[in-house]
Amino acid sequence: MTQSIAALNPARHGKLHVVTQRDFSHASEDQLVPVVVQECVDAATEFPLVFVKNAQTGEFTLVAMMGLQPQQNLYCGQGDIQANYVPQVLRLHPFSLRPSEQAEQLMLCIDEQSNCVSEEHGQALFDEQGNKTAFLQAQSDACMQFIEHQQITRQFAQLLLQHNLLTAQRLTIRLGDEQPRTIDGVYIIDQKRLSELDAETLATLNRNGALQVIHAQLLSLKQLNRLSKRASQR
Amino acid sequence: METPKKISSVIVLGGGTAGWLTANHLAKKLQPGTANGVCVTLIESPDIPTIGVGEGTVPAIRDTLKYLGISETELLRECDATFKQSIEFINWMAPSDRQTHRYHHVFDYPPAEYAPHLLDWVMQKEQKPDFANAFSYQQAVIEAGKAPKGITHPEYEGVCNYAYHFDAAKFGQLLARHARTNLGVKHIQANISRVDTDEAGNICCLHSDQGQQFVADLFVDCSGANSTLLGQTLNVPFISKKAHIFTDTALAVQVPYTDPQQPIACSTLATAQQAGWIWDIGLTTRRGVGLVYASDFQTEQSALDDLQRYLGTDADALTVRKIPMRTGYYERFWQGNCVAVGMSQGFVEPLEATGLLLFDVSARMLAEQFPVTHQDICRCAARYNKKLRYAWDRVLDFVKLHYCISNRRDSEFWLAHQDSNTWSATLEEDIQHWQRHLPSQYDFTDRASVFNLENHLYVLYGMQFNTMPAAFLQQQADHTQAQQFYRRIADYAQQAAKQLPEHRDLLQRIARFGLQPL
Repeated sequence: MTQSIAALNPARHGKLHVVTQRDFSHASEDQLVPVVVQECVDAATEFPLVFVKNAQTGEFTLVAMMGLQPQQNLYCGQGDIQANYVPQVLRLHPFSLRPSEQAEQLMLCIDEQSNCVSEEHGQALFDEQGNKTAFLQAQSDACMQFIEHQQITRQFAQLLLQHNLLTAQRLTIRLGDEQPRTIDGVYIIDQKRLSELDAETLATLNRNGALQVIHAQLLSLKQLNRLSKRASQR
Repeated sequence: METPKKISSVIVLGGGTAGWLTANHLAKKLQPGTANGVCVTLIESPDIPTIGVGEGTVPAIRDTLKYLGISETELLRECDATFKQSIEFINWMAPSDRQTHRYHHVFDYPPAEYAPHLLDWVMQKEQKPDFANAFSYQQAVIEAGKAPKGITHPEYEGVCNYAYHFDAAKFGQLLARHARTNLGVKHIQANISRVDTDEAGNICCLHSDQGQQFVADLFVDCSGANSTLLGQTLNVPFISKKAHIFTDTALAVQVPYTDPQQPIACSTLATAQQAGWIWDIGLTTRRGVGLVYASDFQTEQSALDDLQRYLGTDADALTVRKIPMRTGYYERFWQGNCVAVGMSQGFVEPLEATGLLLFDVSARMLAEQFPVTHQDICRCAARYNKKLRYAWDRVLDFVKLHYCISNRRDSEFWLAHQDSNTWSATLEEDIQHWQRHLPSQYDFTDRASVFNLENHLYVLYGMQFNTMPAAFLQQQADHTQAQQFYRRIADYAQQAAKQLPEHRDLLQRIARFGLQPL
C-alpha cells in the first residue's frame, strides 16, 4: 500500500473527513503488526505474539504475526479484517503520532492516501474556524495513550531481558504437503528459565502484571496453527 | 604432616590497564568474598599517571570482555570506542609503477575450505587479486566504509570478525568500575615507598609513604615500565631486543575531527616511514596518531618533521607527547611470589596491537593456572615463564616479519631490517621454510602462540612474499576450483558491503539505542 504521512494542519486538511467504518486494506501487506502489553490477552486469542528486532534500532518489539512470509497478511482481505480482535495500531489508522523533524515533540499525522480519508463522507477533522473536532481530539488522545502503552511495552521487554527470559526461536511451519518452512529472527519467552525463577521474582512479576502477559505470549504461539490453516486455504 | 599453606590473598600493584585487567581476571576466577575464594586487592598510586596510549586491540579482546561480563554497549558508549576490522599497512613495500603499496591484515580468517586454493594463489604470477581480497570478503566491507555488524546483531556478534579502538584511559576506568562493583576487588590508593623481601627472595610486605603495610600471599606487579617489584626489588635481569626491533621512541598526538560527521576508519592505518611507522586510529571523538621511530637512525627533529608531514596543516596546534620505549622482556616473569603482567613484564612497539593482547593472555593464564597452595608456586611459575617467553618470542618475530620481508631500500633503517643478522634464529628458519613450503598448521602447533597461521598469511602474502613449492606440488594446483572459490568470496563481499551499515551511523545508533544481549 502506498502511504503519504503528513502532519495534520487545518490549512491543508481543513476539509478532510475520515470514514469510521473501518477499512483495513492499508494493512494488507503487513506480516507483523506491533502490539502493546495492555492488549496482549485479547490479541493472544487470535494471533501468535512474538518479539522481533526493530531493523532501525535493534530494540525488541512485540508484534502480532499476521502472515507467514514478508508482505503476507492472512487476516486482512479486501478491506475487512477476519479477526475477533483488531490490534490498536490498526484501529488508530489513518492517524499516528510521530516525532517532528528535530525529534523534540510528537505531531499528530494522517495518512493522506488512506482509503478512510475523504472530502465528503465521514467525520470532519476540523470545524469551520479550523479547530479540532471532538472526533479528532478523541483520535489524538487515543494515539497519545498508545504511545504511552508502547513505552510500557518497551519496559516489559527490558524486564524480560533483565531476567534473561527471552530466547531466539526458529519457527517451523508445515503447510500441507509442502517442505516445512522456517522463520528466523523471532524471540519468545524461555519456558525453562521461567520455571527456574525464584519465588520472590515470580511474585513481583505477578504483582506488576508481567506474568499474565508472559503466559499470553506463550499460549499465543498455538495460533501458528491458525495461520498455517489460513495459508493452506488460500 | 604439615598441610601446605593455602594462597588466600593476592595484591595487584598498579592501577593502569594491565592492573585492572589482571584484577578483573583474577576476581572472575578466584571469587573473592565467597567461602573458599581468594581476596583480590588492587593498590593504585594516586600520583602516577597512566600511560593512556595503546588504543588498538585484537579480536581476542571480545572474548575477554564477554567472559568478564562487561557489556559491549557500555564499552562503545563510555570509551569513545569504534570498530576495528583490520590493520591497513601503507608503504611497507617500495612503490611499484609509482603506486603506493597497501595491504590489509584483516581479522576474518578465510573460510574453512581455503587451504587447497592457497597453492593456486601462490602459483599465479600475473595480475592476481590482493591476497586479502581473494581469501576474505572483509576488505571490501572496510573499503566501503561499513561496520562489521548491524544494529540487530547481539552484543559481541557480527558478520565480520572485529576488535576495537578506544580511549585507553576511559577503558581503564571501565575495567576499574567493573572490578570494584561487580567482581569484589578491593581498591586502595597508596604510594608504595618501600618493599620488604624475606631471605628466600619472596616479597613479604609493601609499605606506603603514609606508614600503611600491605601483605599478601602473592603479588602481581602491574607497575608498568618501572617494574617496581620484579625488576627493581627482585632484580630479575632485563633482556633487550633492540638488536631485532630498532624502534625505541614514540611521538603521540590527539587530532580532533574537522567535521563531527567525518567518516571513521574501521581499520588502524599503519603507514611506514623512513625509520619507523605512523599509527592512525579513529575514535568517535578524535583520532589518535603517533610515530614510532628508531633514534639510532633518525633525529627527533627529523621524526617530528615526518609526523608533521603526515598530519598536514592540522599539526601545528597539537601537543606532541614523547614516550621512550625499551624493547625486550625480563628474564623471568614470575619469580618467587611475584608475577609481572603488563609493561613490567616487557615491551614491544605497538605494531599489530600486541600490548594489550599480551597483558590479557598473561592475566588470564595467571587466573586460570592460579596456585592453590604455596607448594604449587614453583611449578606454576615455571610453566608461566616458559609459555610466556614463547609467546613473547613469537610476538617479536611477528613484528619483525613486517620489516624484514620488505623490499624498501630507501634508508639504513630498512636495509638493516633486511639484513638477516638482525633476525632471530627462529624467524630466519621460518622465512627459509616458507620460501619452499606454504605456511601451514605444522608451523603453529603451540596454542600459546598469539598470532596464528592466517595472520601470517595476510602479512606474508600482503607483502608479496615469494614461496616456490616443489615442482610436484606445483602441478597439483587446481585453478578452476580456485577461481570458483574466489568468485564466491567476491559475490559475498559485494553483498556484505551493500547490506552492512556505515561505521559512524552504526556507532550513533548504538549510542542511542544500545545493542541487545541476544
